Amino acid sequence: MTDDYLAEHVRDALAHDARVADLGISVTVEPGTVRLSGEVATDERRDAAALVAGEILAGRQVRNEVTVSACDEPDATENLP
Amino acid sequence: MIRLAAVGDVHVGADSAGLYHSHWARMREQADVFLLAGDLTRHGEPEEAAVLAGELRDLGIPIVAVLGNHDYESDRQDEIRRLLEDAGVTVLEGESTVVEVDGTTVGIAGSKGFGGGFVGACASDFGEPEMKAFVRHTKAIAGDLQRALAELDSEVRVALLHFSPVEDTLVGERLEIYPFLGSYLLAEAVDAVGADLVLHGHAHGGSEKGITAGSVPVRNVAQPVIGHAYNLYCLGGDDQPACEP
Repeated sequence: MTDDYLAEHVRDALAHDARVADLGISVTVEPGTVRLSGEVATDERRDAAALVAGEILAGRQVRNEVTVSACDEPDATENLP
Repeated sequence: MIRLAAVGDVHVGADSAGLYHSHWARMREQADVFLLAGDLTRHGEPEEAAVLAGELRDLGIPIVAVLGNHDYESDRQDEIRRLLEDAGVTVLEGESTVVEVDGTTVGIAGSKGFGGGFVGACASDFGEPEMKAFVRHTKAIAGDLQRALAELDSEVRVALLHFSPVEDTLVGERLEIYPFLGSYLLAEAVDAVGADLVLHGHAHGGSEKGITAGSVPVRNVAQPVIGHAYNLYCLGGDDQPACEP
């Protein structure tokens, strides 16, 4: 597979693989490396994103910069008219 | 004053069990209604909706939701809706509901919405059947949303969507995908009737705040945008006290 379409093949896999099921992860192909970025809900999904990407990238390094969403209570209320 | 708690895109799955309940349980002290802006599950499986129902137990305030595109992924959206309704959630699709809060009626019209894009850069109801179907789907949804808003006889009116009605709350996403994130038709439907607030999700990389052409405030409450388990909005009006911070 050439690099031209690789990013989209990886994105498609991340969307359809049950271990990730996320449309919001960005995939950037760089020399020798594929970088994942974006935000997911749990640590498991962040780790799964790198695993799934690695399975189809065969030998390329995966740099996983995906973060996990904060889940605490808000510290303010917005007042609207 | 009416206090709303809202979040979208929680994408609940088996691995989410226990993630939200302790945070959402605080809501009864801070909000009168909890609004969920779609993408409630990961792949639209009823088992995932059952986990969400567990996270929503005993919150003590009315819960109103719309589904999102993820909730349709397994073609079991009807089962998801029934399961959430059995858990006490009011699920809306082109429909409305009214909640009474301390003598004030709060009307909520909800719809998943759909895409198509925004003024000057949107899809047209023209060409192949597939293209026409895409645009006509959003037109139908917008029509149902407008009707649902118009039928509300309430002092406060809120539109709850998954897809975005404006571009403002998409800033941060790539411009090229705006047509897949929302449609101006949704804002046009809201502005035709008027509302106090529009809430939506879907655009994880977008921005929180926007406004329709008719000056209705719009808030993107996708969890990655707000950075919390929920956000709080107070609809006070000029003659009402502001909510406590």
